[in-house]
Amino acid sequence: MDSESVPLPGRSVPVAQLNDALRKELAGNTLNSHSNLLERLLPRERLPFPVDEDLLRRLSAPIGTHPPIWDELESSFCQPPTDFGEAAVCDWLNNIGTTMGLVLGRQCERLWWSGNCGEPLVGSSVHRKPDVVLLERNYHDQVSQKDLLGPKWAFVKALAVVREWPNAELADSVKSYLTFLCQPHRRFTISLSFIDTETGQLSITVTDRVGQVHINPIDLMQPSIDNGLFLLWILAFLMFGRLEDIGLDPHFEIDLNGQAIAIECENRRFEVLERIHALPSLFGRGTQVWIVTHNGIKYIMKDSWVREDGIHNEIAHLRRMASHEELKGRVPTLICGGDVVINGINDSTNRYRSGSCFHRVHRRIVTSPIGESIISFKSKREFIRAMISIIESKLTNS
Amino acid sequence: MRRRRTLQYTFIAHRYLYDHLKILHCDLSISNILLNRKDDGSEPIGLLIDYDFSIHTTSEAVNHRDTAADAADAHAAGDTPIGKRVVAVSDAEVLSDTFEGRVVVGAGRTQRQTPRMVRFSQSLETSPNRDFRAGCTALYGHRGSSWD
Repeated sequence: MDSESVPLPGRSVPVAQLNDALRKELAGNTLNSHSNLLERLLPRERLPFPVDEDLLRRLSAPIGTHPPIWDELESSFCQPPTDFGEAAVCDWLNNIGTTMGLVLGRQCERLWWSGNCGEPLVGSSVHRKPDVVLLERNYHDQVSQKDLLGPKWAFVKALAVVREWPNAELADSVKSYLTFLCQPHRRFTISLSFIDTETGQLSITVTDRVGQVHINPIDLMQPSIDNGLFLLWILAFLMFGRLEDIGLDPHFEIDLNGQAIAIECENRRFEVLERIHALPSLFGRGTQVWIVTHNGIKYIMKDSWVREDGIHNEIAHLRRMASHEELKGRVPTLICGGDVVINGINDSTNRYRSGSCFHRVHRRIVTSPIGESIISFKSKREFIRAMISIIESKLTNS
Repeated sequence: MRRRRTLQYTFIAHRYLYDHLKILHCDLSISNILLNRKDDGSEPIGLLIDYDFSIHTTSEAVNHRDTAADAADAHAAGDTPIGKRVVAVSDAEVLSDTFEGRVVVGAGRTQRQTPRMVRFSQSLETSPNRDFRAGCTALYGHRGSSWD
């Protein structure tokens, strides 16, 4: 790990060091794109319900005592936020989601929360105020009823930030980074940016293991059916969609502390005993390694995002080694694994990113045996013997 | 002592991979060499892990994406060309650097060769059938108790 990488959770991180590290990571890994990236990232066939002009029409009529949220004549939202503060934007987004739910006869799976916009979230040594975060409904209720100390970064499903300037700020990227740092099953993070201009702009940032993509902003408060549908489309996914569609890996089981307790690989459930390695950098392979167990036998599970254009394939190498008895015990034995498949498609940034950049493929393998570090010693005696051996060798060879 | 032998086993595996499977690890480091302890209490052996950067040398060595740029750097620095150095000297490089306590590198990284490494490289090149232990003998002048 080089000195520019960001430290692991639990370690104290000076803000300047974190910002400097992230700035270096973002340099050269940031793109601007049109909304067609979102159409690939959040495809129509995965929408939890149709988002079309018929939905707009239904949202333009009162639902019981609930006032309409869409003005069909003006082709704009009826009740734009009173200001672009965190609470106003949070209430507005929740109102849109709740109204869509009422029209469609279903409840939001997730709700936005701004109660911690003035204080850092729990669960990270990096202290950042979150602006507005998307939480599971039950978790949101617990937080709002103060049953919990406060929301944790481990349970943030998506982000919304409010700012006065069109250009993304480094602080916004830190929030996306924290979702990766605190969520072992994070694949990509969606962040909405509400920019307090006359036309009220909305920009979206997608962060994954390749880099960051900023979707060009749209004028949210100007009359436009397309822009209205655009926001509803995003909110349909974020507030009603499946977790795998908004950036999480469904093969993970997560406990109440946000830690992985079981991971599925090739339809086999491996219980996690310990995470022994995790790269804290935002971009790159993002390798994580766990000691896992299945049917009472311990294995090593490795999860990483390898470059698609890479000519190296660890799985192919391990398969070739398997038939060589001479290597038994000296190289890992492949138990199972390969490219991670989500929704029937190999998980890759190639699915939604354009061809102008390199891509990363999500890969997970299970191997055995479990080795021990050669730099850890069982006892002082073992350590001293090793030191003596090294000194003897140096004296002999000098 | 055991760690010495662990390294030895690892280098033998590393050499075997290259000789028989044409696989070059390319990411050797202290983190990628582990102790494989058996339940029966027998002597642990070295376990060489992490093949994400490994290459199949017959088809990939010249195309290794890091190689071109790093070879240029190496050339500018007066180093041996990477491709040749990787094939001939990788064991010695690992060996020497590990014992010297430096970070161990693999293909695609440039590093100054010590005279000892050059000698070992030459011994392997002039005697391609020499096994690794003999190479060590050539390098250190004797097998010594460290290797048994």
